[in-house]
Amino acid sequence: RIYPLMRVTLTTSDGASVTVSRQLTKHSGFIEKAITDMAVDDNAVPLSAVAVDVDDATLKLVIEWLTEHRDDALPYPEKTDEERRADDIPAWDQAFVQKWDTKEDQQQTLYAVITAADKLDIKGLLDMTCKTLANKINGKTVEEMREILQLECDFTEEELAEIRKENAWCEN
Amino acid sequence: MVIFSLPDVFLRSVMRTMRIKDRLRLRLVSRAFEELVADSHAGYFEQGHVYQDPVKRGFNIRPYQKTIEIRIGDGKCNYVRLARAEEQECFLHLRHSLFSGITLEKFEIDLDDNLTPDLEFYQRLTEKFKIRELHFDVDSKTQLEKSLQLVADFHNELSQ
Repeated sequence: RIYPLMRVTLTTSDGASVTVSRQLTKHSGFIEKAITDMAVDDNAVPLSAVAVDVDDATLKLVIEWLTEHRDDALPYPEKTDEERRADDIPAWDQAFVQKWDTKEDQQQTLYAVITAADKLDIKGLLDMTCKTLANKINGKTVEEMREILQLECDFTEEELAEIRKENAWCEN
Repeated sequence: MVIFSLPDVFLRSVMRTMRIKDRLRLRLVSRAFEELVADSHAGYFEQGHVYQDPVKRGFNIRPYQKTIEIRIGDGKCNYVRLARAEEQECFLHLRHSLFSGITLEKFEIDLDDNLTPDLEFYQRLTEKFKIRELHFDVDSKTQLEKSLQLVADFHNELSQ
């Protein structure tokens, strides 16, 4: 049973704290387990404190996403073998991620949210960020992929030529 | 933060959504990506096939050419020459550099009587394939026997 009125105080890795409804935190496997482990009586204790290994700025983004998705059904549906679509991100989520584009380093923000979603065990957010990253890469050239992923080419010219030669089997 | 500091399970989920053509390009991005491509599951695709005789399938191939068409998901290899062992090894090397496993709804295989490439090629090509429907197009008793042998091999691999 979840008590929507119950409040949970989350303490971030950089010392900030934020109090949110249990209706939001129920989507986080990590926070739910922490509350369960405290063995508190939901009726008697209206406030629980949980330390999370996520910084304040990232946690704010996570809470924004959780607020929008507070009524999503739980448990989050398990992925089937057939699922490979990445183009079914809800409109609100797309706009949510687009907002990061105005930030100086949107890729770092995406990585921070992915890491937070993993630490807090928020399956819906992990799924959405997985599709977002996949969509950024899909159909791009090698140079564009390196730019998006912020990676340097660490192959020699000879090694690149060898891989291109192997790939040629599939690109004729 | 770099992409390879993200959780491994997350990176593998991303890789399951990549098309084969993207996997080919990702191999060229960096050494770490080359390894991730080879060591990750390609996810689910509708179909794949090995056509021994593209002319029979309506493809415009000059008759003196002995070529094979291989398709795995969206990765299509036209006019593949696999008569020599070195050619087969090169092709299998690419296949194993592209993914560690794949799920296909339907996979079609043509065999010819000369059995070039041989059964071992097909066994290695389809290693770690999960195929829902396996189709064979056979014109002779020899081809039927070889097809049944491949089906038996699939069953053996699945049961292991």
